[in-house]
Amino acid sequence: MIYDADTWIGHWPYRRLPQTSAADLLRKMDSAGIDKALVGSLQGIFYKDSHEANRELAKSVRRHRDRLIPCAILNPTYFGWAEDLKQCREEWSMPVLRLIPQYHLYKLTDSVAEEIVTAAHDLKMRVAVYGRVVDLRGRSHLDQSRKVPTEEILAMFGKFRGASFMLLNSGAVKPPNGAKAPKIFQDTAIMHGGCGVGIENNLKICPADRLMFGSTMLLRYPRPALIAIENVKATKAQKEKILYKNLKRLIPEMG
Amino acid sequence: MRIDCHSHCSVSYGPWPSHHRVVADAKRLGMDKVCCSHPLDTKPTDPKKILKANNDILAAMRAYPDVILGQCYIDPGHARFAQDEITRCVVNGGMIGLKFYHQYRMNDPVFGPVIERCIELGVPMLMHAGHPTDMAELATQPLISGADHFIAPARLYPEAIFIIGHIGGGGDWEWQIKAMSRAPKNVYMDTSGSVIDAGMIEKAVRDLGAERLLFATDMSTERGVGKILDADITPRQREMIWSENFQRILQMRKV
Repeated sequence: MIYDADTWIGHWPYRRLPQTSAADLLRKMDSAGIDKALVGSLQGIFYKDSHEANRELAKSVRRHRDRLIPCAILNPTYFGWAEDLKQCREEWSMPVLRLIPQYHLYKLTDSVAEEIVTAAHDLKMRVAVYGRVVDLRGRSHLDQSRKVPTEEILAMFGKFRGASFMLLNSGAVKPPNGAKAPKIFQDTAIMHGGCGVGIENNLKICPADRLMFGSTMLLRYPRPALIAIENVKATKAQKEKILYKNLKRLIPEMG
Repeated sequence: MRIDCHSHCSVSYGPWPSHHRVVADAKRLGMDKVCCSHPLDTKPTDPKKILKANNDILAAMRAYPDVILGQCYIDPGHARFAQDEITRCVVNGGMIGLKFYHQYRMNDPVFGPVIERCIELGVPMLMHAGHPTDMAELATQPLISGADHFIAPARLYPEAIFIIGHIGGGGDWEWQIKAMSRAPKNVYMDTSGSVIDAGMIEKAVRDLGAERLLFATDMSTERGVGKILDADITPRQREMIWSENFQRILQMRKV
């Protein structure tokens, strides 16, 4: 069983993606042996009103809800986000809010971030933050996104004592200590290298209870993330946690 | 058969993964042979350190003669010393080709005598390459060669064999493909690097032809193998990339 915490459908404005639709994603999941996935809309990052992309996403996956669980994207600096968030949760059953401060150009330490995270928690949603969306070394000259420092992410998480957060497409972050510290669930999307060693190194600072499989398809090829998990030196129980159990526990809607 | 035409290792010197680790990873991922070099990331370079680096690769070749193929690192700025290293490591030591780093761009005339020597020996030249568009990244290697820097020397020396390093090395890989499509057929590109953007390999095959692509990992083993497995190309094209093209290059050697 494999659950993927980090997939996308839609278009990326700076290069042509060979696959873009929910049907494409399902085909890729089938060929990679991935059972279920959290999915977001790439357009949600770039539309002025991200909520239009949430609407498109809800429509795109409505016949595939057994396998594709949609994630909302909202910009907390844009008018009306609170009502939009409510619609994502209550009408479209989106269990996760993805925050993209890299492109929406606010800081996670700004009060707007705190407000939208509070609202998401009130709606029993999990909040996911991206360490990065794409590798910026080859960025388009039009891509003015900013790099979000890990300290900024941790500072925001730290405001919500005991809450669970998802940290996606990031290098490993040492989880904060303490009973009331936030619980950070990280995906393996960029924890590659050395034939599983990338994940093994992360397991030294982040327990298997807090890692989730993530591929970042349809932006990237999924197979490398699978090869990394296959080759990591970990127990069967640890691998099962990473491959699906942790995400299933964190997001009951994954089923 | 799979031949990784671009990787690195250390026996007792330098920052690269150990030769034991490189061979073990190769075995786990179905790679039969791995080309290894030991480039230096400084300018100017110290000939004593180059000597030490190449000795390290010779030791790795002795330890795993059936797996590790050595590539001789040289800095063309040390004209006489570079020729002596080619004699020592390629002619007498059995290394299969040369490796350049970003001390000079590929179209710098300083490479002339080295290219002439490689033509005489029939050995390929692998250059660390990329087109970083992020200014911070570019500042770390201002003289990195883009694929466009291979066009003039490849035309001037049609008998020489040039390999553009790591299509996914971190930069604008679409630029690299487009620029290489303007270069003559004696320029190849390796598929290594940590960037695994969906569609990268398919686009390279479409615009350059599978016969000009060479499988490699540059130590990003899961990603290097995974992107070739995932790419929507024919089994025949995959075989050419895994090893056939590079075997053809190896057969051109006169030493």
